[in-house]
Amino acid sequence: MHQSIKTKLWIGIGVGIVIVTLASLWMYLQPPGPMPAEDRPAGSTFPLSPQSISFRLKWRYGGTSCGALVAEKQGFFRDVGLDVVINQGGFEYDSKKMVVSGSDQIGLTGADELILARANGMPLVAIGADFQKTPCCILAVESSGVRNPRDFVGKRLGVRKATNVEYQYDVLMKRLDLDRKTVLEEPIKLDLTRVVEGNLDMWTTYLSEKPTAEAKGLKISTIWFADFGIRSYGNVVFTSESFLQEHPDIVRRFLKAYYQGWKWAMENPQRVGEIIREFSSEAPAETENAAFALTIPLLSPEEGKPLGYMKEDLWRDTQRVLIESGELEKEVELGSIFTDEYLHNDQ
Amino acid sequence: MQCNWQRFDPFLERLEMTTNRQSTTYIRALVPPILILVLALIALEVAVRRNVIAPYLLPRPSAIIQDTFKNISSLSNDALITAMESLVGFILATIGAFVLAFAFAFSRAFDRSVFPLVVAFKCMPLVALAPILALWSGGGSLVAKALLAGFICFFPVIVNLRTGLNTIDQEAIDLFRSLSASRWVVLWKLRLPSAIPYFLSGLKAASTLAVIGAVVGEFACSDRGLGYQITEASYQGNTVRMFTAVTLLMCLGLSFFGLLSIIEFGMRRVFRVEFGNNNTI
Repeated sequence: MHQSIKTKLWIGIGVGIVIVTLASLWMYLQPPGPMPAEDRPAGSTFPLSPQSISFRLKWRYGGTSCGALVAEKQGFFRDVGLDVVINQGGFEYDSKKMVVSGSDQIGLTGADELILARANGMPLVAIGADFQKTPCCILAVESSGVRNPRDFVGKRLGVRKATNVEYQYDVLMKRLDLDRKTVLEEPIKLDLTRVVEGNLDMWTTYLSEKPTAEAKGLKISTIWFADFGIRSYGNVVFTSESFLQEHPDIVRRFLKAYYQGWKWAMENPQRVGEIIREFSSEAPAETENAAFALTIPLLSPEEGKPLGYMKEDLWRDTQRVLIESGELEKEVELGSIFTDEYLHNDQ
Repeated sequence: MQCNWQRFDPFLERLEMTTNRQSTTYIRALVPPILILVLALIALEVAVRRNVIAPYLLPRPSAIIQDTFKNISSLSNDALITAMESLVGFILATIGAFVLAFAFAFSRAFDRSVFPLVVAFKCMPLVALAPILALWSGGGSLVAKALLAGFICFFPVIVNLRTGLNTIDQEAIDLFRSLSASRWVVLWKLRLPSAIPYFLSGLKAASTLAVIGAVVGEFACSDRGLGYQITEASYQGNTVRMFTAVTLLMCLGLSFFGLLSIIEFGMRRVFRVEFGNNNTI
């Protein structure tokens, strides 16, 4: 009898601890309440408290996402009344899936990936284009003698499989009437060891990787796909249709601060590296500055248009590249895939 | 809810005329899980068609079946590649485990020195090892994937075989010793036959793990195989293809397991081996 009372007591204590823990967790996850009236800035037209949203990058913190990092560090998001948490992306955290599931509200991805996601039924919308040109290229070790695609024959190429670089390379070869079978291809991941060791002459990648490769002592020549007629948007900012419908004001404010961040970065390229280092200590600031310098030509839209500007004919070209490579079976209706209604013309 | 098996008796009586009672026991064991699976698939199909579940999160089973038949040729090639990598890795692991377990049984000193290192080796995370092996052997080669499959299979086989070789009836040991049998004779004629059930259990556990190891290798660096299909489908946002590849991987794992179960059944009949009350040396 005594034993059963003791057991019930322990069970009661255990249940009590679980309930208190769950209640505390629930209270912690609640958004903060409105700012008291006496604390509001005089004449303020902004919301009474920062609205918290999370922004999922396409990849790790770096030069290709420095617009958001600068906007966070320079207080541009705070100025528009937003508290933005910037989350890294990657293989494990696909930004499209994170946004469509509601884990993040806004994300960064490739324009090609967005088209494919729409083709597969994901209700996502591009709200701004960071890169007006494709960042995809092939970097070649200078000693290999590769200067343009016609030099690829017989050379050893590391291909990052199942990425937009691979299929844009495929389209490049088709358009130039070159046979991929004449190139000695090998799948690679992110590591450049096989290049450094001399087992590969070149590899498919993005322009921003060039300073990283040069930091390993390699002399590099660049074959940029845009120079050979591949027209495609690169990274685009996107959100879900439901978030756009429910919170258009948040989207507008986010984009204002976000592209203010990019503008600041373009005007202060030598300071971008130190800001990136505050988020991630992986690469030296000089390497990040050099990578960002290569990104600047991709950012600029047409004369007189704001940063992030999009137009249907370039979306059509992006889609055409997907179809030519076989990644997309049939065309997707492009009118609903993007909107530049929320961009600011006063950047 | 109790299932009234008596209503199936007329059917089972007809079946017993052509098969033995053991087969009908197997059929009785299979029917409930198959029934539950079919009901779950029907529920999922209805839920997705009615937009209760978004199709880009969880596709309709009929969409998975359609995708499989539409791309049967390329999926078969990829499944064959993953199967080859798994099989090669499994065979390498079995041979390695067999040789090492015998060495452990033959020499206690060797067992004490090396077995703890085997345990430590097992603690290395597979996903960290995958890119390293890909780097050493080159991205597209079968070697890296087979080694990964072997790495993950190796431990259950060697642990089970080692246990089996050391678990012997004391009376049998005494008999062999009384007849002045050498260590080699004891190992070959006594330990090995009694280790067969443990060995086969280890092989069955390892068979499904081999597929996992091959897929992890394909995630790390490959341009072929079902793991590569999953990577490519993830990039495209093609959830249907991801689930198609996962379903095929499941079937592959079940096939390996089924094959080993058949081998185990045959060996039990041929050697008449049973688990008994054995002593561990």
